[in-house]
Amino acid sequence: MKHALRLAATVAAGFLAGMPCVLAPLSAYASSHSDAPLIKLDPQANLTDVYAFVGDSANGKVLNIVVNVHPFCEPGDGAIYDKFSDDAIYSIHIADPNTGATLRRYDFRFSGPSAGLKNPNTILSYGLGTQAGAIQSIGDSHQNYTQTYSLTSMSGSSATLLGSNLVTAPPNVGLRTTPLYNDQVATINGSPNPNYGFAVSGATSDATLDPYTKQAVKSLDNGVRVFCGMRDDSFYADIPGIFDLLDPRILKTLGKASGSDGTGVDGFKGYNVLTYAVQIPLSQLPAAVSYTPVFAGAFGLSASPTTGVGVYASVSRPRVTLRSAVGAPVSSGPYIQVNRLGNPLFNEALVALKDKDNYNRDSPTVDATKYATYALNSELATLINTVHGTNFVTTGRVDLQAVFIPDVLRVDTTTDAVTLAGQSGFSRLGFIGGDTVNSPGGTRNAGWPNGRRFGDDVVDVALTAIASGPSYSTVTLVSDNIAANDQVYNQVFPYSATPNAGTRNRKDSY
Amino acid sequence: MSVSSSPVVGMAGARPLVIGLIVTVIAGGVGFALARRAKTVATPVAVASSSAVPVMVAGASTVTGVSSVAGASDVSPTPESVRAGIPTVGGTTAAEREVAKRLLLTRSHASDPQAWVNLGDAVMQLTRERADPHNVGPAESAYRYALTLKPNQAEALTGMAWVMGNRHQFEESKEWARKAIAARPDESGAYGLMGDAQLERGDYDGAFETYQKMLDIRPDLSSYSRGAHLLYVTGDTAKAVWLMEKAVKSGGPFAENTAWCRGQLAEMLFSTGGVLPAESQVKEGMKTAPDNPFLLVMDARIKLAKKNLPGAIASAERVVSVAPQHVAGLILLYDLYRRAGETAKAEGMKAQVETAAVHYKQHGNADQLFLAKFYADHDLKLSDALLIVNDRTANGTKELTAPNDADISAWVFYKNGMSKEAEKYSKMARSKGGQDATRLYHAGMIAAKDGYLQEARLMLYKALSFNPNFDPIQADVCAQTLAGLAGKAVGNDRVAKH
Repeated sequence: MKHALRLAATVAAGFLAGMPCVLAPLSAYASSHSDAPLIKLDPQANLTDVYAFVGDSANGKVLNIVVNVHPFCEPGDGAIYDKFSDDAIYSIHIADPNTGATLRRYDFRFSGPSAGLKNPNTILSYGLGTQAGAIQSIGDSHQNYTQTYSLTSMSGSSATLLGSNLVTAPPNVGLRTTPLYNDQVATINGSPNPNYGFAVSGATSDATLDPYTKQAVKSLDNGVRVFCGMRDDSFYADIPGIFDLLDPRILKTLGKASGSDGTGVDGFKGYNVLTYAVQIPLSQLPAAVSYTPVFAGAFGLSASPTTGVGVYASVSRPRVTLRSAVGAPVSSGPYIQVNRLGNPLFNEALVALKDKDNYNRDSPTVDATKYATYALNSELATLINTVHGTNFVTTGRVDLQAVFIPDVLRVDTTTDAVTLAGQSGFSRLGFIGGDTVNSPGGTRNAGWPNGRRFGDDVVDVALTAIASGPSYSTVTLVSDNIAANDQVYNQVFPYSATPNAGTRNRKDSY
Repeated sequence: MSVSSSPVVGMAGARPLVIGLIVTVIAGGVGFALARRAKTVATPVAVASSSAVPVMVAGASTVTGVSSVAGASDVSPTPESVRAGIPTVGGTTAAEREVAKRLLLTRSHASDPQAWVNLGDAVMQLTRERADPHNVGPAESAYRYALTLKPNQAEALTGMAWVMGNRHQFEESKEWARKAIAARPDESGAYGLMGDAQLERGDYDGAFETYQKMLDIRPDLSSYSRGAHLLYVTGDTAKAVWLMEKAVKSGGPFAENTAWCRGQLAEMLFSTGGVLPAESQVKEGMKTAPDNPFLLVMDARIKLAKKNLPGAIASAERVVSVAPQHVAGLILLYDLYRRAGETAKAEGMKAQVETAAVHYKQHGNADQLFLAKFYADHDLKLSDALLIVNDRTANGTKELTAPNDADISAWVFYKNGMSKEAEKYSKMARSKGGQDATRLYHAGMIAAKDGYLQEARLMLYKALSFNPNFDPIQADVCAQTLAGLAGKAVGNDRVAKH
């Protein structure tokens, strides 16, 4: 039975009047899965999310940076399965948190479809190399194709090769080909295990990582560790509901208030992404830069400036690709940036269509002059007001400017390690949920926009900020009604959850 | 019974209101209806609550054909016997002043049934504010005397429904409410109490219909707050918050009414992880009701979520100071003392929880599920907890259709090693309403014990994601259990159980 309480009213008129408009602002809320027209045509280079947070490791305090690319990787997309583009440079920038200028860059370059192929005379990339069977370790005789990569550190024009011929983790084909990703317990207490064949995640130590992931985590010199491979898409939001004329399962608010009741549907559940990640000891980072954190002095957070770094990601492709009727394409010329990403949501939800592709080509150093207007004058707030009859502040949004301009994740590197999803005290809402972290300068926000952790509910935090700022005299919680990822994140590097299995996943089988 | 909210506080008392044009909104945001009413309703509405602890009353005969509570002694109330039972009050709070005023008016208007109803209402309001069940009996006597003057006095019949609901005697409460509605079809308070009883029994469809009638008759704090609470327990927190805000704006005759709504708002926001938004509500509510137990409980929980354990303890101690029978406050303080390593003080709180349970039972509250949960949460007297649950389940599943009751039963069965029963009741608990961190946690623990490790991981993780502060002690157990499951059922590590 559908319950319907018919209630009073003044709010109703505004809601009805604006109903059709509701799609416009919210349709873009996919972190960065559909941020701009041109990059939508190039999935392999389409960045979806950047995570950056302070953690602990055997090498002391570290900065973890995990970047996802290629939205909506289909786990069962055989026989080739998605992999990184071999003519793109996937970059992580350590930047000045105030200006966005790159201080150091980590470039990942991947091998092509031929290198690492054991047996070109089969249709299978996985499960049959020189022998048929389940892959037991990366690159064994059952894995026909293994993509490898190199990592180079760039400081100015100085390049340092940190590692080469590093193996990526294989896709999760399924129980019969990549069993070590998945739940192999067929029966429980004599009954069929409903999760038989599903990916298993939630490791809390290197020892409890699945063997493929463990093998793909590579330790380089100076305590730097890296990982590349397919993973679960760690972003969660009810995009399908938003697109379907704002299905009432999300943003059910008729007025200004809201909360998250879990009735949304994670539109990303069961899908994978390609992930490249690096863990850097804080001692190996460029010198931290002084900056004032967002919300300093408010909500019990320290008012004092701190030091840290900015983080963003980019993907670049050669200027020229020459296709041939008789051979593989040939690329040449300098690399051109085709996508970039720092904070979640900025290009998607705030930058207008006319500038979205420009944004992807630009450096954060021009954000203050070219794109600050989109933060200061939030069209999203205007549209929500139109739709909901609310009175959110639409101009002079210096609070949003402080978060998004320049569009880099500002990470306070003076703090203790932040809490992780699944640990006591972790709140997906960060300081809004009481989740703070200590630093010598006082109490700091543990989650986004102090960096970004896996599980940070950036949609809810952003909507809440739009509804509450710039004064924040009251904090109005607004939500898309989805409060958790469909998989449990790992609590160790590379943190993102195990890739969903092609044969059994929460998108297709559950 | 939920231990996270006041055991006595109801859903907000309603008072006479003039109603004008009402435009109505259909939940779901897709349609609207228009209803017109113009009527002055003078009704003492009260409310049972999802966490009300009933009080045995002295005196209960069958005045209107409805069976009275067992053990009642004041079979034939007289003006003197009613007045003699009224508690002595000071003049500190509005409710206390109201009791004194209404008591006086029964002398000048002794033959007017409404005067006795008003006295009963004032005493019930006092009950709400003090979270003390002692006064429900005197209130019942006042209502019953009103009924001797006018057997079909709708407000008095409604008052009786309030009394029964407060005692968790929901079938009786519904019966009295039916009588009231028969006496006066637009008796909105009776619809409210009828809906309360339906809600408490898990009859959400019935509660929606009944509350709707109340909303149509009289949209005010009482009906808005009821609707909000129902939306909340059925999983529509977003709209529940919106509607509860309307209730707050509507205002009530007593500060406690609005404070309760603020407390509910805070709980709704807190339950979805919004600590700062919840804090805003508590601070606002405490401006006019600084000693409201419900607000103080939320204040303590918020402070704990903000890592201020001493502050949380101070707020919880204040709860117990102003409302010594406040079960949620007592249990919270027990947990906080344990977190602080104050073992002796924790033991003292445990004793007070048990004393309160006895106290409620002596006053007619047969609902001891809160005690069962307290025992199960802390691995205390698990066999006693099982006895309480078995006593409920022996009455049939009808008693357990409310998700919270089913969940507590599942938890007690789990703690007693009764996997099959635990799983059955956990599923029942999650079959209605929205996501709830505590229910997810319980389900995850049950699944882990049964070897369903993937289910366990997801439910424990989601419980923490939904509300990492769902319980001062159990949230940590949840995280520890989740960590303990790492690596299980991965690769060749075929661990069927942990």
